[in-house]
Amino acid sequence: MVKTGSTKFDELFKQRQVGLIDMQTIVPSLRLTADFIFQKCNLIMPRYYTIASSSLAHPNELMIAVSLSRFEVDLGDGKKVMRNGLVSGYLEAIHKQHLDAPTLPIEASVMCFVKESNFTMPATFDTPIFMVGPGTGLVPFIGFM
Amino acid sequence: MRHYLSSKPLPVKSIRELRQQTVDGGSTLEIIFDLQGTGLTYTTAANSAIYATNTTEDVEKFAQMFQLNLDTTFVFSKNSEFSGKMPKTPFPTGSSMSFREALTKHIDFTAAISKKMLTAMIPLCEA
Repeated sequence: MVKTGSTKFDELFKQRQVGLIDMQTIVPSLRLTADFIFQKCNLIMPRYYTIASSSLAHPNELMIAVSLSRFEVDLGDGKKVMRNGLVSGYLEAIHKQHLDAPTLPIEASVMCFVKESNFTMPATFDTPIFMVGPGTGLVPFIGFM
Repeated sequence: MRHYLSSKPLPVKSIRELRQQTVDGGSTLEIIFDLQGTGLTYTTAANSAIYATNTTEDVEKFAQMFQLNLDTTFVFSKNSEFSGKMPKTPFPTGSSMSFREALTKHIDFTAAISKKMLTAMIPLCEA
């Protein structure tokens, strides 16, 4: 096992983007128990996306745009795997399911809650605004327009 | 976990790819959720918080690695004798959950391993 205070940690784990699911490949002697997994391991945290739809125009719809991300995990001994970001992989799977059966209703629900942001429209529509956003940074402005 | 318990399952109304075959290989998905009957409301430019789940394939692979029976159920209960700092996001107490459900919905398989967690794993390595 690696001394966790050393730079070896960065070299063997952090830089290689090792996650829980890779641990036994990296450390074959590891025997995680259910107690440890459910009490100590990281829980899935929500990922935040700015809402792209207007609540005035579409109160019964909520639209988001998600950039898909992938990263490489180095498992050592020349073994590397490409992995989707958690939400990217999850939504991409729903998309693929839909492409496979485009005429059927989408049988998927996503757990979601809404959190207010400081990004708001001016109090009146008369106020001129200048909107700048790179890439998916444009998303909130779609709702504004 | 507090947020997870207050989140709602939103049906996906439509999902489509906005960018295809870009130079950087990136892609963007547009997803529209149907809020009708969910009780969820929003204001323009607010943030939506999305909870992903692990794939069935990853859950089964992980369970096999550590010889976990996915049909086993467990209940978290409060330990009245515990006086330490409570985790920020404990599991809900009092209701039964299977290993399959807990691994699928709650355990992050791909987040980077921290030094703290690695240190905690040391006693779980066989000699």
